[in-house]
Formats: sequence, structure tokens, C-alpha cells
Amino acid sequence: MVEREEVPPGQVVVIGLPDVGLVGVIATQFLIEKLGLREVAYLRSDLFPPIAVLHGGLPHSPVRVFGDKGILVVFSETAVPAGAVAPLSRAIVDWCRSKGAKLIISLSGIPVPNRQDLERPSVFGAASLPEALGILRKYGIEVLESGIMVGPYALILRYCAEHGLPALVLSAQCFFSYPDPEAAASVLGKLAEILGVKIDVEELLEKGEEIRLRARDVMMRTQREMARMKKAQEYDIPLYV
Amino acid sequence: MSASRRPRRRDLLELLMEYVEELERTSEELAEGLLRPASPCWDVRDRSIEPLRQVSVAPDEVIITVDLPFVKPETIRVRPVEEDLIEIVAEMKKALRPRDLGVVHVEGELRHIRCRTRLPVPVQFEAMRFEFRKGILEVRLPRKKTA
Repeated sequence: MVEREEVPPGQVVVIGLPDVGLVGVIATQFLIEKLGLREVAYLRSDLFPPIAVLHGGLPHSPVRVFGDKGILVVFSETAVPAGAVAPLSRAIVDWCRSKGAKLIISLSGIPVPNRQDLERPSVFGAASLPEALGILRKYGIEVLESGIMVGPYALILRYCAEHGLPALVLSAQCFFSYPDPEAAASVLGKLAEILGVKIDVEELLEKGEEIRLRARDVMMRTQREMARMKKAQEYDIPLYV
Repeated sequence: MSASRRPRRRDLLELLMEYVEELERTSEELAEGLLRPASPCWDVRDRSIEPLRQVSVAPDEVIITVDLPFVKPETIRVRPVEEDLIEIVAEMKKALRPRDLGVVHVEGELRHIRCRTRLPVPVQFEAMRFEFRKGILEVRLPRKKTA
């Protein structure tokens, strides 16, 4: 991670990486815009394809950190290559450790086959430590007691557990292969409660169709990477009950 | 076998697995490149965008789901083009310029969402059903009974 300015320690870190339904990416992009966060750091890595993301005609890293008001948001604009998932997850957790992160919250989706039948996607959660599970319960988030997580959020949670860092994964029920702004709105609703900030998700829901159209290509590339990391295992029935 | 040789054997196995994975990855990428030459998902000549879609084969039917954001539901058309090819077209709520989607270097406009999808098994087109809910089109095609 390369810091563009001094990043104060002890902040909450929110993570949004391309995954099922692009829930985390849609949610964090909306969060960055609504809270008016600015770029404070970026990832420099040779494990990503040779990409520069242009904003205002200037080049940026596809993985950046935005921050202000005690919140840091890690956000990726491109699909994370399956081979880069482990080093990226490790780099994010190491950076969070070096910054003395107070809490790490990954925004994610959990695919459900009957997503079309759900009016309002529910949010489930998992945590790195027993005390972090208490946060989920406090905010009425049902804990994913068993099952398999695959991808960067799975590794971030494991690495945080190894280092004793408090971390949560908030997962809204979502489509597996289609961008899901409604799921992003659900997960943002719970995040707002935990952080004690006001986030009006109405605009996100109103712009849902436009977001789905724009997110099409990132979703397609994310699908390919998810297939490589055997993401469909998340549908598996747990071995132990 | 001596204990000192065991780690060596494990390393070779890991190496072999890595080669196999690399081979799988390369062949996937090669097949992807051959089947899908690099092109954007939109075409200003055809004035269309290609949607995301999934095809799954169940014991009795083939189910195709298509993500159709920003379309007028009453304009959705699903039709067979060939025995194993289906076309899905829908008009968008309003014409978009590539510039509206952040593509500033291409002039033109996009009016439709359109795709053609190959069917992996024979189906009965005459019994086709489809439903559009929450922006997702679901097409169900009963499979042809084999003798």
C-alpha cells in the first residue's frame, strides 16, 4: 500500500472487492460518494493485470483506499485475478494492522438461488473473533453458523483471526452472477447502524437499473475469476452440523 | 523410505499440481480467446448491448436467465433463430450514448439489449415459457424426449 497522505491510526476500515453480485463494490462506491471521502492510499502490485484506471484523464491504481471522518474504505474497480487474491488479502490485513484498525468490515454478498423471490435481501454475518460476533448479535445480524466462504473476504477474515484483529463480513442475500444494488443497499443499511452514520440508500435503489448496466463488464470479468477460485462452493451444504 | 525423503516427495507433488493448474488455466484462457475474440459488449452499428446471462440444464428443461436492466418489459422478445440458437431482444427505456456510460471516444447510440445464446441440448421451442421479474428474464424450455 502506498499512502498519498498520512493516514491516522485507529480507524474503522470498510472493504469492497468484486465478488458475487458486486455487492461490496456497489456499496463502497456509493459510500465513498455519499460521505465525500478522498483517496488517501493505493495498492501497487505486479500481480494485477497492467491496468491504469483513468479519472479526469489521470491514471489511478484499480485498488484504492478512500478516507475521512474516521472511516477508511478499500475499494477495487476491477476484478481481482484469482492468483492475486491471497497476496491482496494479506496486504490489506497487514496494512490494517500497521494502521491499528479499530474494526475491519467487509461488505459482501451471499448467493441465493431464489433471489428473485426476495423483496428485501437479508444480511448475515461472520466474524474473526468471538467478541466481534457480539457486534453482529447487538445489531440483529444473524450469524452464518456454518458453511464455506470463498475468495478475498474469506482470507481477510482468516488472516484477521490469526492476528487477533476484530473483523466482520456482512453478507446480503444476492444474485450470484448479476450486479445486485438492492443487496448493496441492505448491507449498507446494517453498516450505517454499526458505524452510527446516516446513509440514505434510496438514491442507490433508484439508480439500480443504471448501476446494473454500468456494472455489466466488471461482473463478467468477476464471474471468470470466481469460477477459477471455485466460488460455487458457497452453495455447498456444510459437512458438519 | 527414509523420513528425510518424504518432504522432497511432497514438494514434487505440489510442483506437479501447480503445473496441472497452470495448464488448466492456460487452456481455459486459450479456449476463451478462441471462442470469444476481444470485442466490447456493446455495438453501435447494431445499436445494442449484450446482457449477462446464464444457461443451466435440468433433467427436464433448459433454463436461461438474462439480466435485463433498463428495458421496457413489454418489448421483450424471445425467439428461436436456429434449432439450437435462441435470440432475446428488448428495447431500452431510453437511447443511451456510449458517452453516457463513460465511453467518450465512440459516437452513436444504444437502443436495445440483445443476445443470441446457443442451447446445449435439444429443446421444444413450442412449449417455451418466459417470465420477467426484478429485471431478470427467465426462459424455460422443456427438453426434447429422446427415444
